Amino acid sequence: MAQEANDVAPTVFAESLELSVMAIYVEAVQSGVLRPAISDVVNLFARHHQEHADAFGAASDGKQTGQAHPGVLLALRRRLERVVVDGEAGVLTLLVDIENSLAASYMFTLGSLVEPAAMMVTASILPVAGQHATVLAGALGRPVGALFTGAFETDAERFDPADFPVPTETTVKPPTLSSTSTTMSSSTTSIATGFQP
Amino acid sequence: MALALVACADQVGDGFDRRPGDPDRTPTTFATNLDVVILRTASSLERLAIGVYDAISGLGVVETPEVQATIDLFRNHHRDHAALFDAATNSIEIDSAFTDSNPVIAARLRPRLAAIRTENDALKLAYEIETIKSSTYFSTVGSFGDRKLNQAVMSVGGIEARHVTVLGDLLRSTASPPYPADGFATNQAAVVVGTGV
Repeated sequence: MAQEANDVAPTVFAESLELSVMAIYVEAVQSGVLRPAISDVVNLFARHHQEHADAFGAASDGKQTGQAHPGVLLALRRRLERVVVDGEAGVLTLLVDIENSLAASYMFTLGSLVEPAAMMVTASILPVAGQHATVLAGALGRPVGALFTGAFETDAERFDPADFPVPTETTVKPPTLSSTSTTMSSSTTSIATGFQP
Repeated sequence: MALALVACADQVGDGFDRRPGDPDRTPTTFATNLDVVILRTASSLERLAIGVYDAISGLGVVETPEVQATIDLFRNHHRDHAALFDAATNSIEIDSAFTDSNPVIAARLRPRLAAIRTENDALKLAYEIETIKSSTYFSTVGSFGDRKLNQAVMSVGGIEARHVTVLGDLLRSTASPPYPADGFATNQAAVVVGTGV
């Protein structure tokens, strides 16, 4: 059955978002400011984002691009460049914000999707974005009260395509997962620092 | 098309029979409105969680301020979640909200509650409940007649998943992973919709 036309654009955008985020995760590890245990987790989350992109792509009725969103990727790279000077804390704070924005984006998308298959893909990924954010925020030592902005997921701070114009320069080439040098564990690694009271 | 698993008519009937109130209501009335059945199930699970957190707090096994802060915060979240589900139910069918703890799941977990002797025991039970809830809410996506409810249920489901992560990180056990290893939410621990309500 052909995908509802309404559902194609959001899932294609979601695919491009996930690939953009995957690229930033790879570059965050390559920055060298993350401790090894945290690099391992960030690499695992990068793999998750690749798989999320594949899932959204499969739900895009053949319209998937396999490409990061150039505007999002450029904007995130610029933010990464600014925060890397703050070391691990700066980079992790950026990654937390990115994950929360992903969750917000999928909350927004759920309000417009028509096909249950597209809804299920989105709903299977939305909570994991929030879980990523929670893990990374915990690595920053945030207390439990600071891990939540409220009792509900919202669509505030979502990635809005209108906010990320496509740059005029030629293709913004993202790194690939195969360029990472650290091994990624398939287990669910808990970051050693855990949550602080 | 993905559909939430729905409890058989007997289970829907059992929940209704125990419910005080309108003699004109019949199991068929509830069974034919899946949105109401799902929302009643959700309300019952939220109240189950509130009850368990209340019980844990009363056992005197929580020793760590961080754990107590987590329990208090999550209980408050669940009160807000119950209010959301109750309001959504009543907006479809007035006075139809399920305002008790889920009796079937409560009976299943009662031995676990009685066996709690340590803070770790309490965390394990909390982890299981949050996992059940996040899995259940994910399982309902795509099943609602009113598509807006997909967003509503995942506004809660996403938070339950974050709860799982916090508890998993506190437990630091391979039996309690803080996020799914493969990066996708599942309905593996889902309660069959309609159970106990």
